[in-house]
This record gives sequence, C-alpha cells and structure tokens, in this order.
Amino acid sequence: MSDGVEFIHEGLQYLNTARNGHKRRKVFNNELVFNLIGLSVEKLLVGLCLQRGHMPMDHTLAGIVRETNRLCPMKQPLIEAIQMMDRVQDLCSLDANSQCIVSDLQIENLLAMNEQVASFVNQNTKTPINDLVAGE
Amino acid sequence: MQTIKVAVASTDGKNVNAHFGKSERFSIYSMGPEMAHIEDRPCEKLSTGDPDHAFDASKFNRIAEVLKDCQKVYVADIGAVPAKELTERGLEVIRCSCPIDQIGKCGCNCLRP
Repeated sequence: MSDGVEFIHEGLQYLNTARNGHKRRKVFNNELVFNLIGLSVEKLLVGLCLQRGHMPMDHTLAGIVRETNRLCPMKQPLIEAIQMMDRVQDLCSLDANSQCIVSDLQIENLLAMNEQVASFVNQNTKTPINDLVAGE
Repeated sequence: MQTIKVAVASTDGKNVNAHFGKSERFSIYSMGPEMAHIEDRPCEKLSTGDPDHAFDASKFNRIAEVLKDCQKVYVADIGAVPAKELTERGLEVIRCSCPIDQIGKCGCNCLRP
C-alpha cells in the first residue's frame, strides 16, 4: 500500500492551482476552482489515511472525512466546513446538463477550509508538508 | 514534446469540467506543445443518475472503444471502477480541473507522466 506521500503531494498541487486559479478569474472560473478544492481535500485526506495504513472504502468526501476522523480526530468546525463542499456539490453535480454556480464568497470560504485541511494533514502526517514541498 | 492524442470530458468545449460517467461526448485533442482540437466524439452516458448503480460493462466497453486511440483522458471526476478499467486498457486517467488550453501549464497534476 502506498504510504500516502504521493497523494498528499498531489493534494498540495491541487491546492496551489486552486489558489493561483482564484487569482486568475478570467482563466479559472469558480466551477474549476471548486473542483480543484474538492480534488485537493480528497487527495490530502486519503493520503493521511494511507499513512495510517488505511485505504478509505467510501469514495465520497463525506465518507472520506468520516474515515479520516476515526483515524485522526478532527475538530467539528473543520468537519462541517468540509461538509459544505457536499452542499455546494448539490449545485455542481458535474452533470452535462447542469451549470455550477458557486459564489466568490463560497470559493473564498472553501479555499480557507482547504488551507485548514492542509494544515491538519501537516500536523498529523509522518512526512511534514514542508519537506514534501522542499523535495519537489 | 511528443504529440499524442487525448480525450477531454467537457461540457462546454473550453474547460475540463465533466464527470467521465456523465459525459455524452468527449473532445479529442492532439496534445503537443499546444492543444489542437481534432473532433468531438459522442458516446453513451455511463451513469444512470443513481449513485449506487451497478457497473455496466457492455456500456463501458462501447465508451472505451470511442477512446481507444487516445493515450490519456482528462476528467473532472471518475468512479473508481471505470478509472481502473481504463488504466488496464492502457489509457492514463487524469483528474483535473482547468481550461483545456491550460492543460500542462496550470500547475495541477494534468501533465503527470
């Protein structure tokens, strides 16, 4: 089983692209940034689980959070902030016939949540994020 | 940079923003130093709308046939089973979310080897 480092690294790359994308609004609309945040949070949490020797079986974000919380207890406000993704996801079903409408404020809140998730993973990982970034 | 053929799941022809299973067409690009659009290929939608639906192998095989000459497929999301099946057929599955013309330039994992 992977030790999760690759997942965490990818999660950080997605976060970095989301951050930069949000500053380039003519190129990255909110739908794209929203999807990047979802990918980042998923990769970071799956990477953390893998570092604890567990591959989450539930691939939904809510399920991954539940399984992560069992391995590394998370603060309730962070869990609720991540669950906000699912509420917005209802509007962004990646359906060919639906258009994702996410407000700038929602994106800013979700980016802040993504930063908190990265920080949480950094505090609980066996390979500190700073080492991962420095090792690029 | 070697030129390869890639498929993109997109609802608008501009962004990688569609779920593999919900796509009813794939945009095919020649990917070299720049992305050049070749054509759009229609396909059946794998997803039934029910998140718990069973994997439909025959439908999946027809979609895979549409993509068979591509080396990579870019999607906003994809289920674990179709991702595994595509990978086993030699197609690299890349989840990303960016404008199509930014693939490989945006800093996420879209140019992953």
